[in-house]
Amino acid sequence: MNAGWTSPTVALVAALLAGLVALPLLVTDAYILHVMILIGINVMVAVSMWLLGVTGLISFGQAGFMFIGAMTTALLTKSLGWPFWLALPLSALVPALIAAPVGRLSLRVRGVYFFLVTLAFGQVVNGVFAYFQEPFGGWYGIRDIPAPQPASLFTTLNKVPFYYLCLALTLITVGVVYRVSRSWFGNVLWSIRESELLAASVGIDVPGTKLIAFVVAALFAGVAGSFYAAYFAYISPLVFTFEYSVNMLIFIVVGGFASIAGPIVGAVVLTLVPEMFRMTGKYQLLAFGLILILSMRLMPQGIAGAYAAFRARRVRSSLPARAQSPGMDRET
Amino acid sequence: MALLEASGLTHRFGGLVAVNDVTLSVNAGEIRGLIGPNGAGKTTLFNLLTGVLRPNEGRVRFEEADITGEPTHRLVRRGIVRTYQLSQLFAGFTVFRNVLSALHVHARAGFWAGLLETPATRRQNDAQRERALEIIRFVGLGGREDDIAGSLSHGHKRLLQIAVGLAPSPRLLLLDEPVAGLLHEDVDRMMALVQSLRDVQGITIVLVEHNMQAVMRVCQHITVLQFGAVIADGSPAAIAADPKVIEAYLGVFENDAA
Amino acid sequence: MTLALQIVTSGLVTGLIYMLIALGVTLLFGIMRVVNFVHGELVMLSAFAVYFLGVGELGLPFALAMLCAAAAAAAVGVICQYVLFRPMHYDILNCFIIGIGASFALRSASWAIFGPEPIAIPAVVPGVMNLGGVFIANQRLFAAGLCVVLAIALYLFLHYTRPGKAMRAVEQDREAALLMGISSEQVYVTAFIISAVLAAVGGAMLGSLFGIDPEMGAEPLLKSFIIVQIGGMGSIAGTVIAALFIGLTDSATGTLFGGELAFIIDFAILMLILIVRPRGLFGYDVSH
Repeated sequence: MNAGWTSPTVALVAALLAGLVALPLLVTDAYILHVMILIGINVMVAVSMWLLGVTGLISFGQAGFMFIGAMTTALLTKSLGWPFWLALPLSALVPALIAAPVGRLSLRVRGVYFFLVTLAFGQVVNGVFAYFQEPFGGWYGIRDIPAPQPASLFTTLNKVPFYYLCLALTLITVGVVYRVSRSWFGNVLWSIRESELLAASVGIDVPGTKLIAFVVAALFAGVAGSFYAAYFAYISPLVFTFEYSVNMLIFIVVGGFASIAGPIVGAVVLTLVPEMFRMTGKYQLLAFGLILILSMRLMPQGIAGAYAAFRARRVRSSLPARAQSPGMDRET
Repeated sequence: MALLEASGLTHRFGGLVAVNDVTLSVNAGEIRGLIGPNGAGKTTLFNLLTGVLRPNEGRVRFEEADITGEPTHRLVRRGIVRTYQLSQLFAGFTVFRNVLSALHVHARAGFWAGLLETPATRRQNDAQRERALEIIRFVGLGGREDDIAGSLSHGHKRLLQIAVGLAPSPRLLLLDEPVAGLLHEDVDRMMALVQSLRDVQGITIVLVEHNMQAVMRVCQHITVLQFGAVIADGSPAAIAADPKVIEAYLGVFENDAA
Repeated sequence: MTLALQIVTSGLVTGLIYMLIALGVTLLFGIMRVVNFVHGELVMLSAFAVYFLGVGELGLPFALAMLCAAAAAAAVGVICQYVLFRPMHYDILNCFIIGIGASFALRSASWAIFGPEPIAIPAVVPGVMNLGGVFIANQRLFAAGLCVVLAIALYLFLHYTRPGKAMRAVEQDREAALLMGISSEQVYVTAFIISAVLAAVGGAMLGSLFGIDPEMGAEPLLKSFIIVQIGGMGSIAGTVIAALFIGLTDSATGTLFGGELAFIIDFAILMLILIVRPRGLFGYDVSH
């Protein structure tokens, strides 16, 4: 399904990918690589939240699933001595397994109150990990989490292998989410977004589909969390807070829902901005709060939506406006 | 052979009895009309038959199987499809994508094949695209495949609703006021389409309508509801002569009798 | 035995304060289907206002300080309504998101101005009473009494005054109310004002008992959401019962097991309710 991929787009994406792969060869400043890694983590979560958000569900507890993934990796690699490469898939699986019953229960409430339950869930994960010093480290968290094997490659001195690992994971995440969004399953999600009632009437199991999207979002949050644990080597309840969940929400609010470019752009912009202005702690919170308000008021369709509307307006044609329908139009 | 049987269906909203001990039986190949004054409970009855509501009492059987309380999406897989009074459409999609989306749900390929795109899925996708075009042409929307659903005229939206309803290959189609708000020519076109759905596709049809001419012309068998209960059940001629029905409509009938 | 009584009285007092705050939440929800995230910050800002007006700088009598704080909270509440929620057309999810943004901004602004350290507030009504072997600070009795008085006042307002009945009409059926000449905009403004005043008093009480700090709004807000979900969105009776229940369980688990566990228990109860009765104790059927 290649509709919508014009040659300029293909060239742009190819150039971008080439640039990303070549970056460590061109840039020696470790800080830049660090920021890119942060962007990667954020893109992974943003993109999976986007897929869930297409069905109209916003989860305010993604930090909770990230924490579960991070904790799984931390415990497996540090306490049990397992290699990171084994811990990673399990760190994706555990949050997904927990997401299934949690999502089931959350969906019992009418969709819009679903987010309150997800919010509370994120807090509970945080609370549980904070309360039990053994084995979760309590408020102190877990430090000295081992790096991926080979340890000689993934030292704290050299960020390059971490960069490539993050790049690989991010590209896989984006790739999978993109394929899914263009597949028939993705079309089911878009259909639900257009009209839940009609979706059910054509045979779509709406609650079941939403649950699958919720579980998938949790899975990728787990992957991001797992990488976080291996890279930062330290996790604690002070990291995976409600503010962190909202942080990820801002990526998709500012980025927009129209296409997968939305969360990617949102994550990139909103990771760079705090770094560029050296905003930390409460000042970052203030900035994000204001950005959220301004974005909702002034640009509710997000950057991606605004860009799409801009593109559409530039096309002067007597035909009726074409909807954005990835891969679902008659022409190929 | 009775395709759809409802027995003793009752549904209450708080203190109000919306559907009161309704029993009816629809045979395969029928075009059944369901009429009654406003508030008679026709849409509620539809909701009970299509899994939108659970009845407080009574049962529904489809092709000998008990389907009481089954959710809408599962009934679709059994072959029961329903359209809505207010046009429910995927407004932002094109006409083509509306119908294709409805077809996709019945893809046998499954989740993983969708991701991987094997030659088998590609063949199935092409077959579905063909079928979507067929359906669109059948309802009379040929040439409008790329129009955005939300931008269609009211009459065309109604046709699209039918097209989307046909995608799951239903054996029973429940149409809720298919000609409401349509102009005269569009009414004729819609009723001709409804007739051909039964004649050409062999679909059994139950339709709720207020437009008496349309109902009398197309339905062989009519059920009349008032205050949630069945007050008459028979041929159009019998219904037109039934004093209870005439009283229920208070003269509206006389104006519309063919 | 005295420990049990201590737990119960402490639980009832905090429960009553949470009740007041949760009533503000359920009022807005029942009438406008809006979940107001700024509510928590109104609690916090009012507590700070009462402190600076009453105890700190100006030394106003407590009652006057609280009135000023309530008025200020009402003003902020209405501003939020017009700047944040009305432009979102009172859509639940959008209001929730924009409310979070505003709450972040207010919280960090407060942190920047007042600093992160909690400030203790001397009791307005000093002294301790001895009720049958259980020692209760008079301040707590005062707080509990004030909450009860306001809750009753709210009930009387909703059932026996014109604006109150108008609110209930809009809650039940917005269109029918419109046909009867009730302006929903006026009702909404009234709802925001009342909700803000409830938050303000709740904040003042919380502050007088537990001290004030910029983060103090988050927990009551979250607890309010849980309370309102358990009691049923839009139901006053449900909110009262659920709030007392949560207050008691929090007090029990907090005394016996420690604070974080209390929240986990609250969430477990929420989950149980969702399994058994998703609409909450007295709420509308929300499972469609």
